[in-house]
Amino acid sequence: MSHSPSVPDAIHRSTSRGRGIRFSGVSKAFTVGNGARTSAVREVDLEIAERQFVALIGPSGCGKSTLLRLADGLLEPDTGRIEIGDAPPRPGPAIGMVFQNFRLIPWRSVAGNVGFALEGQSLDRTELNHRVQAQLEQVGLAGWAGHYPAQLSGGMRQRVALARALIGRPSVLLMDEPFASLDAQTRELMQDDLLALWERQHPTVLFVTHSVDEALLLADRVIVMGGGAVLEDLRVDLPRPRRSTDARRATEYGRLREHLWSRIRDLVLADPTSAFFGRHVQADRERG
Amino acid sequence: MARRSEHASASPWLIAAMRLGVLALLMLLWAVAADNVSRNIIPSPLETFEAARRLWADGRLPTALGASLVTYLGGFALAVAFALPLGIVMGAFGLLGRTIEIYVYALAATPRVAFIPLIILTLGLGIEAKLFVVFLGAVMPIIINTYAGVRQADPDLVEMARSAGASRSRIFRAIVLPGAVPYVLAGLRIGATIGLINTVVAELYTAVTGLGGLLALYGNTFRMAEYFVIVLTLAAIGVVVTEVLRLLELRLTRWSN
Repeated sequence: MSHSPSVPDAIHRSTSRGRGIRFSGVSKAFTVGNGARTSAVREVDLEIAERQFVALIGPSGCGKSTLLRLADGLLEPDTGRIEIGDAPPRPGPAIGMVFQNFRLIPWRSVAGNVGFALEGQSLDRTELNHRVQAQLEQVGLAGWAGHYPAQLSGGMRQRVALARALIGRPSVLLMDEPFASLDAQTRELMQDDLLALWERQHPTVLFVTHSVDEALLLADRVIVMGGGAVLEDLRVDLPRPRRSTDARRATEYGRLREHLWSRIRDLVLADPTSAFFGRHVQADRERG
Repeated sequence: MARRSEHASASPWLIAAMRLGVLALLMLLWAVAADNVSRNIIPSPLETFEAARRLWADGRLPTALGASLVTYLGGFALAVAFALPLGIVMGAFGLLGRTIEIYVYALAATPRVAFIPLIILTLGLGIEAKLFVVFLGAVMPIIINTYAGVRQADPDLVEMARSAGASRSRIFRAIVLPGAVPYVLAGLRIGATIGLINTVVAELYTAVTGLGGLLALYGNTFRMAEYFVIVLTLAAIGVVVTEVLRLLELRLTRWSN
């Protein structure tokens, strides 16, 4: 991906001042089919400093996506409080959100999709087009403005989604398994691109993933969730700037990876709804 | 990485040529049938062509065609004007939709011919009654499809739009309505087909006019060549209208490949 030097530097630096994210005693339950309540997030206390890159990891159904939607203001907590900076979150372009399945509007062009995030603001047409063009250049899609999503590869679609999330110059970027539906090579390239973008714009990032490797490559801090609660909070002290290839050579990386993976593995094996439930004995034997 | 479907990649010229080939085959079958079945029942293609020229020259076919088109297109336009807003409102306001959908489905499942005596008693035998018969046939599928299209808005896209800070009305305009377009077009196609059927029904059951009237006249008097001309004219109307709607659909869903 090439970053055009013609993009004014002001755009890169104009990210609004960083805002941290604070969860205080946050719980959220949902009503399921038979009327019962299942809790998705339980008593979460979490403080994320501004400009930090935090990965949220844990088995399926551990509440990580719910936590992300609470941070976006898409969901209201049942109890507790969430603050972005010093105000409760409100959905809008100031908080960027990237979803796993891209969620591009199929009947809109690439430019139309990216511009969608700003259409609620009272921007005039020229200003909007200018911002869209600059954002597309930044994610390396300058020549694709007129294409429709169906004409793009998976990696390009996710870059459009990223451009849409970034165009509001968000101080907080929320990402819900954004690269999970990409093939392995595209995923690695996208990870590097994301790091490069983050190093320039420096929003606070909350990044949900299933992948231990992805979490360790990208994040300053990895939060392990299970059963709706925060189970572990791990610092990742790998040097930056990181790129996918060299980060993995560090011995620290191997140690953290081993630790996180055994943690997640235990969570999955202890989950009665998992296909691997009850495999402790067999797995231990293999390990021993 | 444009993905193209199998038949989109076949050359349009090849498809046109193949279609002409099938047409030639059908004409051949028709000619063979005309020769082998008693002449009074199946006219030859040539006799039919002659009959068409006669009917066109003496003005009967143009008059009947005009009358039928007025009934058909007028009734269909009324149906669209009524069904689109109703379907959209039903989809937008869930409670209203759930309240009246059952009556719409019930009416859609009732054979509309059953209403003709009532329609004649209230609207008479003239153009009003005919327009209403066509309207009644075309309106249901358009309401039902529009309603379904609006209700089945992609929840992922709606959530994305909410996350971008879009208001409810902007979500409706930018996500829900455009997402319903393919459903609406399918409804229009079904409505157009039923509308054409009901045009003939109306012309047979109310004042006997138009193509339906000629159909009855030539059918009852065994003038089979003329009768065939009317059948083929009706088929041609069906093809033209369906094709126009198909082109509209292609135009409105260009983004999908």
